[in-house]
Amino acid sequence: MTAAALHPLAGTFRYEFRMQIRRPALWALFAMASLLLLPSISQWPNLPTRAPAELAGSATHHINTYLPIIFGLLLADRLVRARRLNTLELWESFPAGRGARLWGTFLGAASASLVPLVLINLALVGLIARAVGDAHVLAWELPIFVLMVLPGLLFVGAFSIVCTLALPLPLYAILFIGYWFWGNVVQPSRIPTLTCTLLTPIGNNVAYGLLKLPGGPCLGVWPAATAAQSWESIGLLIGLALCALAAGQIVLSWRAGQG
Amino acid sequence: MEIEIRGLTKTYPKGVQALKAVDLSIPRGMFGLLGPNGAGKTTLMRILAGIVRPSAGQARVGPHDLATGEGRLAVKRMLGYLPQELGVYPDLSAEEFVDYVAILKGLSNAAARRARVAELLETVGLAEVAGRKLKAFSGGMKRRVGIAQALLNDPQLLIVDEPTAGLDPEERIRFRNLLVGLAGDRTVLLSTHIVEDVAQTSTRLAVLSAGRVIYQGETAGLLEAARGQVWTLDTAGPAPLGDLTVVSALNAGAGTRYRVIAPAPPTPAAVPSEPSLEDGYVALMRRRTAPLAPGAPIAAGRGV
Repeated sequence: MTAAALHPLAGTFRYEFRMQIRRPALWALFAMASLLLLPSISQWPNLPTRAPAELAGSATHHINTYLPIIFGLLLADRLVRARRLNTLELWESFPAGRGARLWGTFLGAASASLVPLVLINLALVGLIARAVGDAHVLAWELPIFVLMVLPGLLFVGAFSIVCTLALPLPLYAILFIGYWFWGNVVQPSRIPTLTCTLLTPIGNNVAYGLLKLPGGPCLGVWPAATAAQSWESIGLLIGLALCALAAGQIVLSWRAGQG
Repeated sequence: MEIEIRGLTKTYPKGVQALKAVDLSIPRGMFGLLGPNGAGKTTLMRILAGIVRPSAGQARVGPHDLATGEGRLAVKRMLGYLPQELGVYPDLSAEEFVDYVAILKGLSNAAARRARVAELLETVGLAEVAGRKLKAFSGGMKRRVGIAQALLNDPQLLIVDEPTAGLDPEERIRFRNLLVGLAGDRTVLLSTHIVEDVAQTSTRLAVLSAGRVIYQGETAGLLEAARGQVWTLDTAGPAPLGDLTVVSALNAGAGTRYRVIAPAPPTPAAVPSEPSLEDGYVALMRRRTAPLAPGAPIAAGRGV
């Protein structure tokens, strides 16, 4: 990628980040979710006896079970908004490429949406570290967040921003929430689901394959989750996210050609 | 930067033919594009801005052919465009929005960009509210933000589509003066359905109707389309009827004063009047809707 292409991408990133971080809905939705999730930590058994990595992993996995829904929904309207606000025509008159616009919008809005998620994770893990009196729990949070949370968010964010090019936003929101519970939360023993496959963005593979957390929805279904499968899952999620964004870029160019 | 258009046709995917073999030459300076709603003005503007691709024909801006990707990109680099409906991000301030556009237009030096943004917001009279979010701006203020963003790259071609729509009279005058001041050695293409806007700004114009150019030439030449057909009529009775178009109706005490366009006096009491540009435009539109004799000239300028 040339400097001429990077400059508009960086500019789009900067302003999309600003616009997303200023959205009251971003903070309101994550605040409400954290109010529901954080108190449940007091019910966790045997906190002091568990290893720091396990504690950080369990807390992060706990948050990653539901909060990516908000993350996805907050990204889903970013390209639709350009049509709603009538900015598309003006933006098409600029020499900056559509790729820079798409990637800059995605990266900027996704980074802004990550901020409250990171804060909630830090708050939860910080509470646990304080409860068990071990700062190592906090130290484990960074690598666990990067491996368990980021690939899934990249996957969810990319599909959310691109799918609304083809689907109406309300329909996508309904389908996305349905997919999330079916593909991540529903136990595979009840109905066929993606919950215990490499495709699950919730972090099951890293949680049970890499960190070897006890229990989980895949127990008995996928008892041999391995570290290799965790890496495969991470690679698959990132690869699919990149494919989705590339497809979005093609759709945007095709639409512009139809005008 | 001169623009040459030959046989330009645009048919949208659903079959709507917005432009039908348009031939047009647009010289340097201020040029008006006049026509009723749905005439194809916006489509022509979008093609010239490189946003929409023509279905057939040729459009060249200077040496750049708009049928090619390279040509469109080259035109976009020297273009300032103010669309009919300017979309803005309401949560950005005027300064942020114009800076965002400046980045997308390729102004990469941060210090120079900030200075240019500040200069243009000053030019359009928004310096004092530069930090205010755009959602708090009136329609007129947003149009001024629009012209500021259009000028960022010191464009050789400035395309403004219905720029005065929704502005109050004072803002319209201010905006027109601003455009004329900008024309200088660049090409400014002003599209509008408001005759007065063209009359006050452009010495040359083209008139579009139903996707075709029906007049191009001197603005003053448009008057000739109505010469000998403008009548003033005072009456206390009903409005005049027949093969005519009422241009204005003015309450005048006991009766009404009508200004009409008609090939012959609508009543014996009708008095011939000097045509205005608006009369010329109305007369031209009447000819387009009425059957024309084969080979009849359309207007005093270069009829097409």
